[in-house]
Amino acid sequence: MLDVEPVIKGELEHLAGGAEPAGDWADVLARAGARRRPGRGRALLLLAAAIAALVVAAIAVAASFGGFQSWLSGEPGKPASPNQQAAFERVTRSWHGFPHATQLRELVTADVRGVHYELDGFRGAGSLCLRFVATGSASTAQLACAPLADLRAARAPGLVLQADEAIGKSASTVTEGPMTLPRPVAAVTFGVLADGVQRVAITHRRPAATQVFVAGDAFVAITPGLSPFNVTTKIVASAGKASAAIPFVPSGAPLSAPVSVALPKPTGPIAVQRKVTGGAIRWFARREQRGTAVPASLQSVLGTGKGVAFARLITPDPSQPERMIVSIRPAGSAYFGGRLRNDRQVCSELVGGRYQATGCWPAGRMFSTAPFTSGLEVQRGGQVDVVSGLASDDVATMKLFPAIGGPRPIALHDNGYYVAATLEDLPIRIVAYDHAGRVVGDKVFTGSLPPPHSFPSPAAGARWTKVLANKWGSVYTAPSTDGGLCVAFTMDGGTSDGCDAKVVPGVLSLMLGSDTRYSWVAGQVPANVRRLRVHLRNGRVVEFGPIHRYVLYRFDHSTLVDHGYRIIRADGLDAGGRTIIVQRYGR
Amino acid sequence: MHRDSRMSEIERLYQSSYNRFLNVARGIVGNADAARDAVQDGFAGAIRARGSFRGDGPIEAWVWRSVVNAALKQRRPRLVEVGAPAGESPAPDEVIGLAPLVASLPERQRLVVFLRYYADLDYRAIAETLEIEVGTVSATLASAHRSIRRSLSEVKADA
Repeated sequence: MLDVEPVIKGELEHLAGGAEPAGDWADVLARAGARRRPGRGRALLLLAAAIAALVVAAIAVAASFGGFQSWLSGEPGKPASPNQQAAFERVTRSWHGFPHATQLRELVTADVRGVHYELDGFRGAGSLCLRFVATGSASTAQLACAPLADLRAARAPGLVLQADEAIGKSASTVTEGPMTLPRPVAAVTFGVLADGVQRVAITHRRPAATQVFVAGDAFVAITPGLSPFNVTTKIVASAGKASAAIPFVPSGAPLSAPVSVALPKPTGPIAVQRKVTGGAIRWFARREQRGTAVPASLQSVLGTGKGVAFARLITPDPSQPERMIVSIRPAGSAYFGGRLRNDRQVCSELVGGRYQATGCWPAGRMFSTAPFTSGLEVQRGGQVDVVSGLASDDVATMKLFPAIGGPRPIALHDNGYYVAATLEDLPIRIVAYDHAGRVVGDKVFTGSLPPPHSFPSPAAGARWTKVLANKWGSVYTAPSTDGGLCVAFTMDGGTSDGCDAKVVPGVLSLMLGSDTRYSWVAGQVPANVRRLRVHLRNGRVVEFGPIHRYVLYRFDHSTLVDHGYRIIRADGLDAGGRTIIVQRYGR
Repeated sequence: MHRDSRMSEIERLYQSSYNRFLNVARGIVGNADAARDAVQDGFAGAIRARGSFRGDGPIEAWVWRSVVNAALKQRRPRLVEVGAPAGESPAPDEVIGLAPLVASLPERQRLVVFLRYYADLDYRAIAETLEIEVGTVSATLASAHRSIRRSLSEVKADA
């Protein structure tokens, strides 16, 4: 038997490379936004200046565009048609405690290329909601809601609730490099506006003809036939000569880098004052019959119901229409960093209202690192995030610390909680307190936005170039965001793509894949590699050559045995047939 | 401990152990530039959050956690297996070494191997860094040893 410890030590030391001089501490401080031991007075001055700048910006927006009084306390638009009011009441009939007298307001109507669009809105249960309906050659109906508190604290003259929602499918398709997608009938963006906003302008990554309708303190932007590879990049509201951008979360486009939005620092306390671990929910452990039984109409949330040990419908916030199904059920194929020995998971599912959110955690250790669990779910429209979960009995109260507007209490009943947040709120900090008011846990959420250091992706507006085509498919490349290369290949109408870090000499940059019929190798090899020798798990060895440094090769499973199609090793051979690179893959 | 004395301690750690952090980050992200970036980000994150350090364990493990997390965030998708260091086309005997074997280990095993042999952390510090039990560290390292031993035996048999 090999004694691997000294081998590992020796090899890793060899691979580590030479020692580098210590890094740049000043750069660390700059990234941390810290100065070298600033004086307290100076820090306070800086803080005061930052607050003053925010206040000035908010006052400037309010002065130019007015506030959101129409949405907060007035009646924007006009009464909706009886048909829409009836449809609205059908949707909200099952919402617990939702005022049935709530009047739907008609905000915007428009007819564009054979499609009738209607945007209605209402205010209720601490939120504002927009109901968007399209009928005609394309149809859709959807509801998007956001907390009213966001309008009270808003710094921007609008709040976007939906960006680039594709409506219908036209007969035509759009091809961009390796990918062909159906062209939608239209893409729609909508939201609410401050009282004084007169116009809204939309900018796309690539020019696109957009009609924007502004009425009833709301807007709808309709772009007929917008390419699925094109997205809205900027929304600007104007009043007189004043204009201001409305922040929003851009929708993702295939084969494009995810867009990141710069966020301020989270607010709220960061010091945990009492450490609690291994908490529990006693009523849950005792199978106490809290809340109500899960009604038949919601049983589908529990799947087949097979193996469900316990399930109840609870009310995290009695003033809100949402309910939460909490359950103990088999973990099945769920993976929590390993299979669960007891095969049990605890799940919470938000149902019956404006927001949807789900989370599951391993039973027995759901509070092992914090006294509350949390799952984040992006709502349809991509602009509102909902964090929901369960808190242990150690938690008495919870608070939300948004980026704007000061802390808000979070309702917590029967250990369930949830909170909705928009981009204006992010990053949010959720803080849990014990009965003595001490902080026992906190978590920060940045929503669905990608982290600032994301994976390499195709550069903005990158054009894909076909670099190889053979009987199996084609290989395309595009420059990546890190100055490297993205490689995509198409085969049988499907597309797969990946972006490597900067191209490394001496390395076979290969993508390996397989489905039920084929295994494939695609990618790029160094210039001195003239042949590629691929070893399969069943002992078979296949050789083929690159074309202009690119390879695309497919193995048909039907000619192979068992799982022998798995690729376990690839060798790069030079012009003389010598093996100059060997790469091994998991067995 | 006062926030600024924590800052001094973090700075001392940076100055004295920069290469250990860099080696682990390089092992995770796969290239030197991204690794340097991850170390900078990891330390910056530790400075920003130093107020939340509860002092119930060594600050070194806490900073390691920040650097490891920064490296994991920065790591690209593992579509490509890297088998050799940049800028060289070494002879095959040199390439059939440990790097691809370590690269093919499951993520947790790889992290534990890096922290054990690059960072020279003991089991308790690794457990603190990865927020797992000490027993899990021991079991994970044993699994990694088994996998590497098996692969090395196969390489020898192939040769």
